[in-house]
Amino acid sequence: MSTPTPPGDTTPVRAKRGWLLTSAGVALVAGIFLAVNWFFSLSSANLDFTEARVHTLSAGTESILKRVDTDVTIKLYVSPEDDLMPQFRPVIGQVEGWLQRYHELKPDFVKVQKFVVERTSEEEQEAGTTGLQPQQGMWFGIAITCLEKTTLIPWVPALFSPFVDEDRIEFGLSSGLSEVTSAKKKVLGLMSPLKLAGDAMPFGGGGQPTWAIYEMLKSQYEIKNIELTTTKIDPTVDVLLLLHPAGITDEAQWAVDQYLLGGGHVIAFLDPYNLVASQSGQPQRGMPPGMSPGAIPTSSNLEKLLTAWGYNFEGDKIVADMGYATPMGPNNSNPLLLTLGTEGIDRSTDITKQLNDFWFIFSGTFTGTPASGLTEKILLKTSVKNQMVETSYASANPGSPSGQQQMARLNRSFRPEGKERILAFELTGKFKTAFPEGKPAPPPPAPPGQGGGMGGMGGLPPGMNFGPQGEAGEPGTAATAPVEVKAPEAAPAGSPAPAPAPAPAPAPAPAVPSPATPSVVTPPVTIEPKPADAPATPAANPAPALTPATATPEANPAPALTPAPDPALGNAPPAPAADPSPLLPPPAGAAGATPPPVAPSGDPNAPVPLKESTKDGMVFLVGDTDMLADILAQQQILQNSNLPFAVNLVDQAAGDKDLMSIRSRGSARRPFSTIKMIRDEATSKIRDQLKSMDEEVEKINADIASQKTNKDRNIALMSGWKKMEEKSREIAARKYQLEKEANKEVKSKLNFYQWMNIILVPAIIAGIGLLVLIIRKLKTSAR
Amino acid sequence: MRHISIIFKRELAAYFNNPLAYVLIIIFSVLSMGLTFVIGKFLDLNDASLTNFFLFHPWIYMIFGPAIGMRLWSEEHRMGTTELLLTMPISPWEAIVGKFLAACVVLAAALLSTIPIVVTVYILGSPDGQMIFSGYLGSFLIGAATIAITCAISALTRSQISCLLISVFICFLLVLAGFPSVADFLRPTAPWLADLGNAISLWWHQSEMARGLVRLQSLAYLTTLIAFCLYLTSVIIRSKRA
Repeated sequence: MSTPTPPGDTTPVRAKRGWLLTSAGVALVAGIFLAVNWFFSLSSANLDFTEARVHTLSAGTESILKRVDTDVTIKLYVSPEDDLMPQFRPVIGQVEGWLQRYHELKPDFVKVQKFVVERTSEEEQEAGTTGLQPQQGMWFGIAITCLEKTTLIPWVPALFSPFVDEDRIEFGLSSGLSEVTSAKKKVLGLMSPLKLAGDAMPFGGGGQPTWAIYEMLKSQYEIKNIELTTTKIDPTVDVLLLLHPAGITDEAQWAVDQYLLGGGHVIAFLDPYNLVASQSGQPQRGMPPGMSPGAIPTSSNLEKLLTAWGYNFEGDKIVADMGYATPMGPNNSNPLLLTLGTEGIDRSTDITKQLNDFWFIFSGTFTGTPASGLTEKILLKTSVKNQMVETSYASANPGSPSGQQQMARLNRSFRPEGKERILAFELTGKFKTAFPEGKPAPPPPAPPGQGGGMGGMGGLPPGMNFGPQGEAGEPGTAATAPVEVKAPEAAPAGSPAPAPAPAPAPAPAPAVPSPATPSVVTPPVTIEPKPADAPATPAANPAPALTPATATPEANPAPALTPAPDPALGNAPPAPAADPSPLLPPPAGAAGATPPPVAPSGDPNAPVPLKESTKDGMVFLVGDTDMLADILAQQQILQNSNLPFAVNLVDQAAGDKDLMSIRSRGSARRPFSTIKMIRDEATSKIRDQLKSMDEEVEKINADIASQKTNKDRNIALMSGWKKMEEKSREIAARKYQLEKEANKEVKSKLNFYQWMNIILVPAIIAGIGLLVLIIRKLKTSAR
Repeated sequence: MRHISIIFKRELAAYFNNPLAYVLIIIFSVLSMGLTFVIGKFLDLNDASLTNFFLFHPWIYMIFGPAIGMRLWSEEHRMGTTELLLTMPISPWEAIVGKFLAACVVLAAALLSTIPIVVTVYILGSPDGQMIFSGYLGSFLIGAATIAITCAISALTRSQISCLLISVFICFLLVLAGFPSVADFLRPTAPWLADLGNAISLWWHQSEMARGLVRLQSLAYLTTLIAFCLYLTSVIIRSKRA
């Protein structure tokens, strides 16, 4: 029963009106709430709270965009979301955000268009016309067009995290933009015996693909290949890049010297042991038998130039670095494969400022101080826990038992030098010539019909034949690399039995090759075989021309090229060229008169050799070339900083800093460096104990070897075998125990951090809470 | 302003003079650290950023926010002090803001209790300090948003448990809406719904801020959500008084 409303009482009406007003107010505020959020959802504006400003367009991009004065169209072609894999769908929004930022910076010239590419639609036809291709039926590419030029990003998700460490879309877009808007590419001179451009065989014969570094450089520069025998570097070359210049002639070094003195910029990646070169003598898939090219020497150097600049590159030693050893498993790390920590990277230069992940594979180091007039800047260096070791360690496969043994031996015998070594550095200033006596004489020509072994090996001097087999590891084993690398294959059938596993220490080289393991030696070059090397494959021309003088028993594992001074073979040291040195006195009859400078060739029109830099030169030197080989690191290489570093060097030398600043943002990972130190400390504690165990085993071996007669040796072998077995079991158990203890120590330290985080603060808060409550209780009970 | 300060102090004292705040902060600290270190295997990730640590926060706030906020008005309703409070010479807005700020202080104290993880990453590596700040900013705003939602619900009911359950449910939906697996599930059938889910999801906004990207969209959403919830609280309180 409802109570009748008294006449004149307006309360219900007011209440109703109040409710209406309230509801309207709530609806209005809700509307404002939705409108504000809808408005902001349209904007890509954001605040970038990262030190490296990884979410903001970099200064490099701004600089590139500033130069844009013609219409540029960026077309995004993407399949409908339903057709894309779920993990690629969020990338659409991200890439649209980036494109929006480009447009906002240069709205008059940079136009952005998005095309949703349905199957069998006009858009699909158009996408195909630009050169884009679907990946597994999905379209997700970008075409950047300016006038007649178009550059493509074929698969956008490849530039986004989590597919890569950090988003690289900005670099992709900016380099594309730079490419289409630049009038002319700079020229990069490339000197290398390695087949960077690939060597695909005709008729689907296989071969090697193009290196990723080559592709990257090619997109920015016009690459001009220069032979390692050249006598002149074209001055139109903006930057000269030497990648593993193995077998470079003195004349070519002279040409580099003159190019540098003329103000050129040089980048050299040297290598004491180049893995790619070590496999270069292997028959390749798809190649007819007998057509396999010769091997490239595994070691490269620029000795003459480096000496003049005040440096030495130890071409027969590789660096083992416990501080930056690459983890190969839970209890295993390889000190010959370096993963550089932040302390090893110079942060004061744009080249390396924001790069973090550097991998070095069997790297060499530089020693010395800059010659007068030059300034050194170290870019990358080892830790203090390093030691230079023989290159014979490089050929071991850590996966094989002997490889593991060898690596364990290296780990145990490791004695850190206590000083950092240079892995990569920059030299600038006024260079002086490395050839004060002028242009060196050319090497004598090869006798006809010989020296064709390297035929087809781009960049190698004619007449140089290094035999079909370079460095080889154990037959049938793989070479050492952070990821699997195909090793030199086992010797072909019919070849001599493979040599036993590498000896504990590098064995001396045989003075003369045994007839069973002939090496191809073609005058005028001799080969110094590597100690403890695998047998070379039999060759067609087993001429025993190795000069004993060059094949010393010295442990020099790198197959150094040593011209044999044997006039009978026609390879005597060349006579000095006719007056190559301007330092020689002027010819008779010219006394008193100042003769015009004459080129060594005698041609008065030829340019006079330079003795000193005409303007400041720039040289970058790096102690490893394998770091750039994508076949070694496969897909992983795209995720470390090696390639960005190399291209940054080229950009720096070419004066193109815009892209460098963007590329340097590549990897912004911040690993736990201290955890690695904790692990290293624990391992170093047990190293001495492991070493003494190893010595015990070696003692038993030595006992067996010391027996004079075969019979005694056999008896010793039998009893030694038993002893060895027992010892091995005992040692394995002790090693397991020691490693377990080391792991326990590491774990306990990490557990400390973990439980301090979980328990410490709650315990403190509980204490404070209890204290407050007790005080309160005391206060109230006192009242 | 003086009234806000009085209410703020009164509420803060109410939190810290009984075990509630301490228990909540301890639970928050143990949960956030435990999830990060034990479930998230933080030390095995070899990443000196706190991104993974912050990604657990929206899930914790789903319960922690309502636990802090459930007593804000429900307790007043249950004790019958709402009327008394509102007959004092203070506006409902001042009471609401004072109470909300006090709850935010508890939230800030809880976040402060996670400082050891910041110290740890600085000991173990060289993290990006600005990114950590951005993560904390996001975490605080999301925590404050869950408190604001709970504040509005607590104004509706005198039962703290009901308030807790309803608020947890709403927060759960808001966290889940932008979770990748949900978004991936929605996208093929209703892409607009997946986008909307991202836009309203506390998890999505936190994930962006945890990686150092503070979108204006995120700031706008979280601040307007807080403001809207506080406005709703005031509407409910006024209507109850009427």
